Amino acid sequence: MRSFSLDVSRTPVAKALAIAALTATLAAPLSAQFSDRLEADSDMLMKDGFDTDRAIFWAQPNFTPLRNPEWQSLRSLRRAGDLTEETTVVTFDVQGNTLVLVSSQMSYHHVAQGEMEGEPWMVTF
Amino acid sequence: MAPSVDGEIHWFAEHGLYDGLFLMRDEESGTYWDHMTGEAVYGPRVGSTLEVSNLRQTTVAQVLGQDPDTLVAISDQALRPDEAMALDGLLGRIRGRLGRMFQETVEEEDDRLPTMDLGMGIWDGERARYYPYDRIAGGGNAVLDDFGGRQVVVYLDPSAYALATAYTDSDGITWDGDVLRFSDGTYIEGGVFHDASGERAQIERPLQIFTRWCGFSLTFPQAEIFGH
Repeated sequence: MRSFSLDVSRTPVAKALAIAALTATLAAPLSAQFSDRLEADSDMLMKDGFDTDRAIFWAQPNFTPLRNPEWQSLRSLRRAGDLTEETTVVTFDVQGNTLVLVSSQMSYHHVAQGEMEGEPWMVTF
Repeated sequence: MAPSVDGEIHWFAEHGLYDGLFLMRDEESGTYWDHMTGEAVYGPRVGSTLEVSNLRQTTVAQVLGQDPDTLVAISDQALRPDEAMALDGLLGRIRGRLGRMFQETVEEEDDRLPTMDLGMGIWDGERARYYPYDRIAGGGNAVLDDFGGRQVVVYLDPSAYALATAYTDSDGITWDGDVLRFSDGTYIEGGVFHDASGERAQIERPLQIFTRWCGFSLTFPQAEIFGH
């Protein structure tokens, strides 16, 4: 018997939803405990139209950013079976290098940042 | 995105919520930043904007097909099965609204489309436009459109399972299996653009994000909707 989740993940729209699940409403991380909120400072500079009454400022990050990660060969990890052909990823180029982060892991970090050959980069999710 | 403010590297983390989306904060100045546009919204660096570039959402197979020397960073977090993420996405669509905490940061949603509608948002300095996933899928998985005086193609990339957008000078498109062919002889196969001679070539893409209507419309209140 095949599971429901396996069935849905094999349709194009479900794959698309899997990718998009990470970009806006972020279901998975909502199970996390959230940090204490900070009060807004009315003297602080703010962009025109920014409404501090409905902004949430957390005292601490709720998710640990991924910083200065170590890079490995994607092909080697694929061969080792750590990732599948259909694993969803985000990709970007820095200094002529194609770099990849795994989407499901980025849903726990939201921000990844580092340097590649002296060029600073950052990915936000 | 470039984590550089006035030439200095700053370190960022998720630190807040606004309009249903996360805000980042940098350690050095304590400023809060919009993570989609790179704009400083609250704090001493208001007036600054981080340089934004595109992040492509795709699959391992497609990336390796494009560049076998691709590098990957694996974090200490568990690798979550794609099946679980698909289920999250479906549950979000069924729920049809933002979670309560996200909702309290939204003044008024744009009800031209359902909150959790999925699609491709593109923008430049002056304009923003949203392409609903269902409309692209219903339009043969690819459409040509005029965006700010330039032609764009918005297509459902069959090997990435995501919508993508690129500029094109061509005036016609057809699918040849999984290959998107343009009337000028160029084509996109496996996410890679080829010129008319079949050589790999660079393709220019507008700033874009594959996302839900709520986040895009709240970030770009002036956004047009393709087909509306």
